[in-house]
Amino acid sequence: MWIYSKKLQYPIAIKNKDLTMAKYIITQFGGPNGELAASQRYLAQRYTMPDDQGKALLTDIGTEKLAHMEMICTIVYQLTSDVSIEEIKAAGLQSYYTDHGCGLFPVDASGTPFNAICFASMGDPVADIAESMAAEQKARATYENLMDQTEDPDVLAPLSFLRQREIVHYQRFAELFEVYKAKYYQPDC
Amino acid sequence: MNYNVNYFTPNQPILFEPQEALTLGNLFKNLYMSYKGFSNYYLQPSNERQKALLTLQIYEFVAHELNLYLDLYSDDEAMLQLFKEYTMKAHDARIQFIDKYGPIEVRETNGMPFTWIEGPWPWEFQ
Repeated sequence: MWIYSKKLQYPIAIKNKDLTMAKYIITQFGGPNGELAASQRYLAQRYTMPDDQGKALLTDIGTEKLAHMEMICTIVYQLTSDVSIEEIKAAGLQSYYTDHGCGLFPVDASGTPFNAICFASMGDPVADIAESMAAEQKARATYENLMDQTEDPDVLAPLSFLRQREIVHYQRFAELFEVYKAKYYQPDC
Repeated sequence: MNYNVNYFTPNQPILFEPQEALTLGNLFKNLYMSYKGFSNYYLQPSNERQKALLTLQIYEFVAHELNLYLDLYSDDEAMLQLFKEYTMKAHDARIQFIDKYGPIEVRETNGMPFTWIEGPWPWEFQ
């Protein structure tokens, strides 16, 4: 089970509205390389990990990703708080507004709703951890693409934090992958 | 067939100071990679509540980083000791926070009325 902790992993206080950035950052909520996908991918993959190290690592990183999903939603919420219809129109967000108002709904940067195919659970430790490593790198690259598009330090700081977490998680998965490759990716094993 | 593979032991990690670790999003100096020179963003609490919360966030972050490390290297005594130390520090910071500002988890709710429901919630400029 999980217990809710009423705080963010890293503080977020965005002073300036920016609907255009919100429109793109929401991909880390509902896009294929986002935090919703990551959390559920790891929390699904953990059941069939062959040892305690794998079960623990996927549980703990999967749980941290839930906190990252909360951070992304917080960024989007703060970037869009108290917006007017004129501002929504100017940012080209009428389609989103029509279907979801200012509510948080998981879509990617082009507005496509979340697709569970990115959970990508294979039940094979080598395939699953390789997938997880790739997922961390894709998320890191996405955060860099987002950082390229803003100069607001209130937005850059949490994006930079989240990008760095992908680097640490990638490293841990890579270490586990070396062990699994040696154990389970051998002739006739 | 038993390949008898051991989890390889990495070089003893070199760690950032706790506040810097949270600021950067990384406790491990050897893993840190900046992007286009953007690296450090000094976290400045704007009131006493935020300051107490930041202390808790810092210690919990260090303990969490050590947790992920220990998931793979569970027999690293030095890191396990450090994990215990930061878990205690986080515990103390948590007590300090909830005494003044209310519960972080619902089980920490005390007295009347039911203060768990009171904002600010995490997304509300907490």
